[in-house]
Amino acid sequence: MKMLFDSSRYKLRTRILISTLSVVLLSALVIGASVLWNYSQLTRHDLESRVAIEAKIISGNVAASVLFNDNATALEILSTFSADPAVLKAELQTLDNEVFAEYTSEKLSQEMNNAFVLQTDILFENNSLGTLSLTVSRKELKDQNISIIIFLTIVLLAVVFIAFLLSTPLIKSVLNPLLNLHKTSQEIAQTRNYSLRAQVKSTDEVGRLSEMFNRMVEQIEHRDDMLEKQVGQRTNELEKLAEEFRFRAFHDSLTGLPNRALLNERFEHSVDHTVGCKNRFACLLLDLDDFKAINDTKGHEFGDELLIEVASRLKTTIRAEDFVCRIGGDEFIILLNDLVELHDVDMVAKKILAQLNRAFVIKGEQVRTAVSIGGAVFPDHGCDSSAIKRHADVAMYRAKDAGKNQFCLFSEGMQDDVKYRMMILSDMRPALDSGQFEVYVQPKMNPFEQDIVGCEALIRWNHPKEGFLTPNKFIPYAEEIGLISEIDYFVIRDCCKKISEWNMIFTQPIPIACNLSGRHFHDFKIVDVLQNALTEFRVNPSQLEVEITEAVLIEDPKKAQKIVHAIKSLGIGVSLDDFGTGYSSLNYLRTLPIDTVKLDRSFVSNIDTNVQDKRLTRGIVSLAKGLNLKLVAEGVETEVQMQTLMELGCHTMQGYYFLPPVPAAEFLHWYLKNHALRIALQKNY
Amino acid sequence: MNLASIFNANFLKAFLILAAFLCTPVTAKDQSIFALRSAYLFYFSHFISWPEDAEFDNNNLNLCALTDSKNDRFQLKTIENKTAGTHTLKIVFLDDENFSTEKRIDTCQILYISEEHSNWLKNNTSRIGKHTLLITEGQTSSPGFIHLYTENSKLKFEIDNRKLIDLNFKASSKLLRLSRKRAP
Repeated sequence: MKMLFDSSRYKLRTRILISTLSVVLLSALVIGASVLWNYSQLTRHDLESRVAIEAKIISGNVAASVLFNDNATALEILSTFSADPAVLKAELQTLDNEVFAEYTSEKLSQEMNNAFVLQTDILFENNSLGTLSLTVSRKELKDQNISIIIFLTIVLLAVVFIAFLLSTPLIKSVLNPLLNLHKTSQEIAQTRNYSLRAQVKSTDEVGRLSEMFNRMVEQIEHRDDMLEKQVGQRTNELEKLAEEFRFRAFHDSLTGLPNRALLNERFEHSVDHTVGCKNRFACLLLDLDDFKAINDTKGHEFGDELLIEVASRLKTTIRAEDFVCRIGGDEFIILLNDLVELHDVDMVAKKILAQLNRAFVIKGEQVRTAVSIGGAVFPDHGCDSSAIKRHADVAMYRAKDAGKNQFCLFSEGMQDDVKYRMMILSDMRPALDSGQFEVYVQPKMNPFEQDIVGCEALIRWNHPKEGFLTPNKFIPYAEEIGLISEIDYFVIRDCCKKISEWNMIFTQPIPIACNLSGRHFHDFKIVDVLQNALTEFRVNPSQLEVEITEAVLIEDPKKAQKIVHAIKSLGIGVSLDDFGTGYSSLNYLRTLPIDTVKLDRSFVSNIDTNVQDKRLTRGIVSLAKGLNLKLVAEGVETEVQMQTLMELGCHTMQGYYFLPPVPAAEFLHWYLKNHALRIALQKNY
Repeated sequence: MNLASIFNANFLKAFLILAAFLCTPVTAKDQSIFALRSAYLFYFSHFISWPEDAEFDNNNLNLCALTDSKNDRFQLKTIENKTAGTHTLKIVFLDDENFSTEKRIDTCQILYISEEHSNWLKNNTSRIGKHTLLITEGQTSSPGFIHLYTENSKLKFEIDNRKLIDLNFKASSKLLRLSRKRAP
């Protein structure tokens, strides 16, 4: 039975058919058994009743025979039992148990084992004359039971057959909708065609199931449509996003030029192409000159606009088969493919220089810039992309070092410059920690009175291997790695220390001016450093000066002004260095609390020969006097220059003509030798 | 105790005697023919219906016997007062001194004549009433309606059913079946 209801073993049709037929068969068997049992009981009862009646009749008839002792008649009467085949034996016994008469059937011996005995009294006038014992065969019952069993079996088989005939169309009528539903679901599962629907032919449970199935499929179809649309929409979005990511991954977001990632790819492509074509390609590394200054003074937004314009010009300058990308900051790389001769590179570089030297109009303001270009050619300057890039970088620094705004093609000797640069960058921090830096001083002279009005502190680096290094050899790198602040703090403290010491030695106060990088003017830390140094060494603030350039107005001019005012409020003098070369020097005079302006050495170097420089210097001297500012002319190296400046009314000068920057001890010696005696004599006389 | 119960008791007593007799360990040949005859006479009253106009004084069924056998007389006495259907059996000996034969014959519902008095029967046939069941015995030239005889040491009887019908007696088929039919 368990196997019958095991759904995995039989089909539903078979299970229903077997179940139905089993129920019918079982019911028929129960009914048949009941009928058989009942019929058997009735038959037995009928037999017993019949025989009892027969016995009663015979006993009534035979009583007279007993009374009149006529056993022959009695036997004759008993013999009438032969009409009933069920009676096997009839025995008439008197009260003394003597057999008065006896009838025996021929079948007695055969059926004796399946017989029962029925006894009845022989009565006469309600008095017993004896007993009539009947031995009754059950064969009749057995035969009748067999007959009824055969009959019931036939009926049962007929019932089962009829049930089969009736249940088959019934099952079919139930199962066909289910099979139809199954067929539809199978087709949907195989074809994923959710537009298919199951036929609904009835309103019964199967019909409702079909309706529900159709509704479910409709919802799935609707959901699929929605999902398909959503997937399509999201795929498009993802494709766009992927395209954007891909573009961003390979392009610079500011200029739209390819970036370093795409450069690597194109670099390899150019290498392969060049190897295949057996020609050359050049890698040009471009770095905008003084872009940092532009960025600092005009702001990053201005600088970004400039970069965009530069990128635009570069794109229009190169050929279609060439490649330009921005690799960061103000650096660009151009790959010039299919070159035949090396001098082709020079020609293209000059073209680029020319294009970028033209004035740019950024935010309505005209601005000029320049670019230093380093170039390396494959395969002449390297056999792989890494070497070519590295050598282009070296050449670019060479172009920078050579005065900027020029192109420099790589040559083997340039490798040393790179090594020097790397060495300086790596040795600077240990040098600061181990005291390799030394503060030199150069006096500011009043030539009219042959008097010292102050000194400028100038840093020097006693490099253990490279020897004595001037600021231009390492300050740019200090700016580059951010160590310039630490160096300036060192100079400030050293200056304060020197002022404190000199006050004890010299009879006149000699102020010392130290240079401050523009990097200090983004927060007020420099003010604290100055304050602490003054306090620590007990220096009169009026003896300390700071020299700043226009670079102080780097990122936030308003904040820089506040910081300069804060320095000024300490009592420290403020000098504007390199005056006359900046973009808006006159504007600084108006916005910053300047005490002194230092005329740039470029005005002084040709002042004795260049009328224009002389005229400008005169104007500056006049301006300073008009604004009540002190003026210091830098770079005075000859007596003629000194005389000319004196003629122009400049009272303070600084330069090698008087004394180059020297260690403090040497300056002390020089001072004592040339001025201390004179001052002492003047005081005596 | 009413009469019926008394009768039943007597009948039972007689029957027990008969049963005792029948149960004695002797063969049929040794049976007392007298007792058996008395029983037969008694049983006949059960299987014979008298005519409707027959009268029964005091509801008695008079069994008149003319026999010389003491055994017969003794055995007949044992069945006196037995119930025969709705009647009470009364034994009347015709030769009793206190009995007037002429008068008594009219009141006999059953008249038993033994073999030794067959001549008497021959001479008095006309005196026997039409409502009297005549039973004879032994060798006789004028047997009664029922005639008892011995065959193979067994007491048997024959019935003249024609006569019984003529006189409006009705004999039970059971009795008739046990009897030998008399040749006409």
